[in-house]
Amino acid sequence: MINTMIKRQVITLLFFMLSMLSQQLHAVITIEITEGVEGAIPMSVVSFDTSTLPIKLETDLASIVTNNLNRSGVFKVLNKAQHPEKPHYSKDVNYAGWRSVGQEYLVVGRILKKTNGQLDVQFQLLDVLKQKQLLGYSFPVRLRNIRSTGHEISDLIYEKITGIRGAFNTRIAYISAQNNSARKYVLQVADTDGYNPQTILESDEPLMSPSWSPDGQSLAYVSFENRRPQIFIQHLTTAKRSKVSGFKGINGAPSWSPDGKKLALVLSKDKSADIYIMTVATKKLVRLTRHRSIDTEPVWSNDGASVIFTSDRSGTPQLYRVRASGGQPKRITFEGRYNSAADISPDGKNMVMVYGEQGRYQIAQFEMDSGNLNLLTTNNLDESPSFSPNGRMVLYASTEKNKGVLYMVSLDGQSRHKLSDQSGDIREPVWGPYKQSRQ
Amino acid sequence: MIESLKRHPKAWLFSIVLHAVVIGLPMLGFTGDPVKPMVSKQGLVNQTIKAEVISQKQLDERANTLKEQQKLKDQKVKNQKKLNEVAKKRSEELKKKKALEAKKKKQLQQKKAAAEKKKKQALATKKKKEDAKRKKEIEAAKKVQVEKNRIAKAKREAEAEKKRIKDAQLKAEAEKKRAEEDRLKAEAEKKRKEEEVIRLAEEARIKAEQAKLLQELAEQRQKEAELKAQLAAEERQRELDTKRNKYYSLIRQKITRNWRQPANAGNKPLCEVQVVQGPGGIILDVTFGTCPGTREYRLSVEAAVLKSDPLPEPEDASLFERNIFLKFKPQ
Repeated sequence: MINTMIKRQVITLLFFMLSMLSQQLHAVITIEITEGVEGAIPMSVVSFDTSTLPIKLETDLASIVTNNLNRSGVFKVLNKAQHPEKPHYSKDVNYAGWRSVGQEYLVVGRILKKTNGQLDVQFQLLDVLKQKQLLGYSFPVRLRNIRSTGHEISDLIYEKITGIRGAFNTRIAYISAQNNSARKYVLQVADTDGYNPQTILESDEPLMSPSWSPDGQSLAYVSFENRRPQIFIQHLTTAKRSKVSGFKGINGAPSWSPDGKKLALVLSKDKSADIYIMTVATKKLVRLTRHRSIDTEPVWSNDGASVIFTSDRSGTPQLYRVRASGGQPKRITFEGRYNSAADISPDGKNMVMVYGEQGRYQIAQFEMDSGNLNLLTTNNLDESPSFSPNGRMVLYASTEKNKGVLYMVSLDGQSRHKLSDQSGDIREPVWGPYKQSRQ
Repeated sequence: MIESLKRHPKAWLFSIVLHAVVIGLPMLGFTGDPVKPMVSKQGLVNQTIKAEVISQKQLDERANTLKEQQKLKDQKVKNQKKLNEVAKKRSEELKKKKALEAKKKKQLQQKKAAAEKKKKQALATKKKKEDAKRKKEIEAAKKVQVEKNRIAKAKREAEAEKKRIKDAQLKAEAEKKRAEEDRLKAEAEKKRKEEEVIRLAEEARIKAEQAKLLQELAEQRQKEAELKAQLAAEERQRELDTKRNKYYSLIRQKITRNWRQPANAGNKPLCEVQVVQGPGGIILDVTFGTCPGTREYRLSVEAAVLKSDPLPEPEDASLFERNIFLKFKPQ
């Protein structure tokens, strides 16, 4: 009895509240905004204050951040010559001035000296419109890691504003053919802006198809060091390397599974080049495709459940998908005479590939669900697209003056940047994973 | 005196004569036959003494005159004495003569009186006869007159009777006429009253009709006024609607201008934002409703709103909306 009464009262109260809510909803006007210019977020990164340091830094932290953010295509960082002021602390900022030059965000910072020989890098991300701090960090840094700190700051800013984890503080690997006295092939790892390249392996014979292990600790690659292609895995910090595949014929295009336990690879030991899956720990092989045409360039889907590869079984190279557990491959691409060298985005929604038509080879984005194809580049000889770990950028190689050069393009194709500080003929770049996987 | 007589014999004579007349006349008169009293048909002559009012001047003049007269009187007395002596002589002569004459005259008069008496007697007889005759005539006349009067009287009475009858007749007629008039009057009154009733009824009817008309007119006016007010209200509403549309359009335009959509934020779903603005369009609060897009997308929406601060103000302050619900939906 009492329960019923209480129920009734609660229902009445709820009804009352609902009617109040609906009245409130009716009281406001509704305006629809259906247009708006697409564009990057206008922001500024003020040069960090280094005036208290006893030494002059060669590294310009602000310019690292600026280049990163510009390269992402998400931001349009104001040229520092146009800064209305050069504050280093949020308290010194005149927001109206930044707003008047159309800025939405502002980064200020300073590098201070710490007692133990470390530097203290401090930065603040400020919301110009709301006139408040969005981020404020202090990093104890050794001098040699100062670039990395710049990338980390970039990541934090990127994530704070886009909601997507930044991938600036990751690494890329690529093969560089260098023509000095003699031709040399070098496997290198560098920062995502191309700076700080470190040679992993140097060989007189060709090196090919580097592939990052998901933990970022190892690289698999093809080396012709033994006059024929063999697959090696090399640990980056220990430099310990091992040959995992040295069958007769082709041993090529290794690709780590997302769980890091398997490699997809191409073997021609059974006459035709087909896709195999190797369990890294046991070297046990499973043949995934069986076709007299060439099947190559396998990549794993983000969930590891399937493998996408290139095959010319239809007459021209096209992309196919096959379940990692085996089965009948299904053709994915039908548009264009030539589609190859796929990479799958971490979220599995997109694929990038080399799209060839009438002698032009460009990087294309392929939407897995809709099958929509979107060209991201405009050059003639682009190759080896590779997703950034956040799936927002694509690293690829292009050919300029018969030399391979590294490029990055945003997934919408709006932002394309050549990486700086490159030497040699650079091929087959591949973007590494996040340095530490987050929980 | 003598000399004066000599020189003025005529004056003297005249004076003597005059004196004689003056003295003699009364004597003559009194001494004459007694005059038979004449009965005036007009009665007694009214011989009143006429008082004369005399002024002082007149009195003086009169006194002077009296003096003169006294002088003259004294003179006259002297003269009188002489004259009297003369006159005495002459009077004696005259007396003798007169006595003679008077004797003669008396005789004559006696003769004459006898004749007269005779004549008078004749006349009286004659007169007696005439009176009788006249008396007879008068009585006859009287008789005629009585008859005449009787006839006249009868005639008068007949006429009076006639007149009386006629009067009665007239009176009756008048009575009748009056009755008729009264009747007519009554009828007229009645008719008038009836007509009055009808007229009053008619007036009442007209009045009622007029009242009704007035009522209708008033109602019509009321309706017209209401219609007018309604039209005015509608007009104002239209104006308000126009201004409201303009207001909303200005807000939409400003936010659209300030909306930099992220280029590579994937699909751009419907994003709902509740904006609270204060006077002057100052944005007080931005609250997200449903907005399933990326953070970059959400921030772009928020930035579009914040960059539009202050929001445009309406032309009509009544159109100001504190709460604005924004729907961001790229097409």
